[in-house]
Amino acid sequence: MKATEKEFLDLMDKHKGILYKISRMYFEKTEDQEDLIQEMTFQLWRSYQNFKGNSLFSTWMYRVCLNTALTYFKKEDKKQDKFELHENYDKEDDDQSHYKEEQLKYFYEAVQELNKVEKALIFLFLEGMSHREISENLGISEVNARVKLNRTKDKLQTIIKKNGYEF
Amino acid sequence: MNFDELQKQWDKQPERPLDLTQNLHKMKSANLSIDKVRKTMKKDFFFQLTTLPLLLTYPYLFPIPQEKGPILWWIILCICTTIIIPMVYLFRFYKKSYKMEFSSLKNLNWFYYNYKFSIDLFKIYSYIILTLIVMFLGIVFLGNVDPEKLAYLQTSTAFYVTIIISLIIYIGICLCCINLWIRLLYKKHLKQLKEILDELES
Repeated sequence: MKATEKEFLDLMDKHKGILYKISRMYFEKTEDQEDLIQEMTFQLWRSYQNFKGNSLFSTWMYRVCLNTALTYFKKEDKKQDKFELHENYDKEDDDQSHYKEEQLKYFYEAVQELNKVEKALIFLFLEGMSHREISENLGISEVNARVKLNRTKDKLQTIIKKNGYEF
Repeated sequence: MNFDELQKQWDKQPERPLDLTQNLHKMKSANLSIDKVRKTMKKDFFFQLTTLPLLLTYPYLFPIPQEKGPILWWIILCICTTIIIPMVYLFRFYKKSYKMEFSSLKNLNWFYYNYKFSIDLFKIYSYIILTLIVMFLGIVFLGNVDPEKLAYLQTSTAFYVTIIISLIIYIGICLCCINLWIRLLYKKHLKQLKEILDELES
C-alpha cells in the first residue's frame, strides 16, 4: 500500500463519523447509506490529490462529503423491503435499549422529510458549526444561513410533532 | 424539541463500523449527477466524433459532378470546423468539471451554468450543422439532376412548393430530434441540479 493511500485511510478512519452521520441523514435504508458512503469515499479519494493542507482535513472533508451528498441520487431500480430494514434498526435499539438513541431514531426519521439543503444545514448545526462556518461551507451569506437554519429547525419540530413524538 | 440536548446525543451516537479497507483504485462513482453527466458527455463526444469520418467518406461513396466538387468539400470543411469548436469546449469542460472542494453553492453554480452553456452551445451548433447539411444535400441533389430536366422543373411552381415543403418537414424532424436528444441525455440532470441550486439560493 502506498504511503498516500495509507495516510488517506488513516485520516478516513479518524473521521469516519462524518461519513456515517451524513449517510444516515440523507438515507433511511442501510443499503442506500452504504452506497452514499462509498460514493463519498470515492470522491474524497479522488479530490485528495488536490488537498493542500491549507485547512483542517475535517473541514475539507465536510465540504467534499456534503457536495457529494447534495448531488447524489440513489439508484432507481432498488426493490428492497423497507420493513426488513426497520427490523435491523429495532435490533440495534434492542441492544442499546436507550431512550436517547430512541430520540435520535425519531430525529433521523423526521429528517428524511427535509430537502437536501435542509439536511445539510441541520447536519452542520449538529456538528457544532457556527452560522459563519455553515455559511462558508454552503456558500451562502451568514444571514441567509441563520434564517434557513431557523426555518429548518421549525420545520423539523413540526414534522416530529406530526409524527406523534415530543422531546 | 430541545436542540441542545439533541446535539449532545448526536456527538455520543454509536457509529456503525465502516469498511475502508477496500481498494481505493477500483472504486467507481455511480450516482452523482456530475458523474452521470460526465459519462453521458463522454459517450456523446465519441458518438459525435464518429460522424466526421462518415461525412468525409460521402463524396467517395456517392457520385458527385466534378464541377460541384470544390463547393461540396468546402461545405464538408465547414461542417467539420463547426463540429470541432463545441467538441473542444465540451472536452475542456469535462476535464475541469470537478470542483468538489469548493463551497456547495460555488460548486453547483460553476457546474450548472457551464453545463447549461454546453447544452445551449451544442444546440446552436447542431442548428448550424443542420443548415450546412441542407445546403450539402441540396447541392448533391441539384448536381445529379439532368440540366434539361432541371431547366424544365424550374418553370414549375409545384417544384418550388415541393422543395419548400420537404425543407420544412426535414428541418422540423431534425429540430425535434435535436431537442429530444438533449432532453433524453442531458435535461434530467440539469433539472436535478437546478432544484438543488434553487433550494440553496431561496
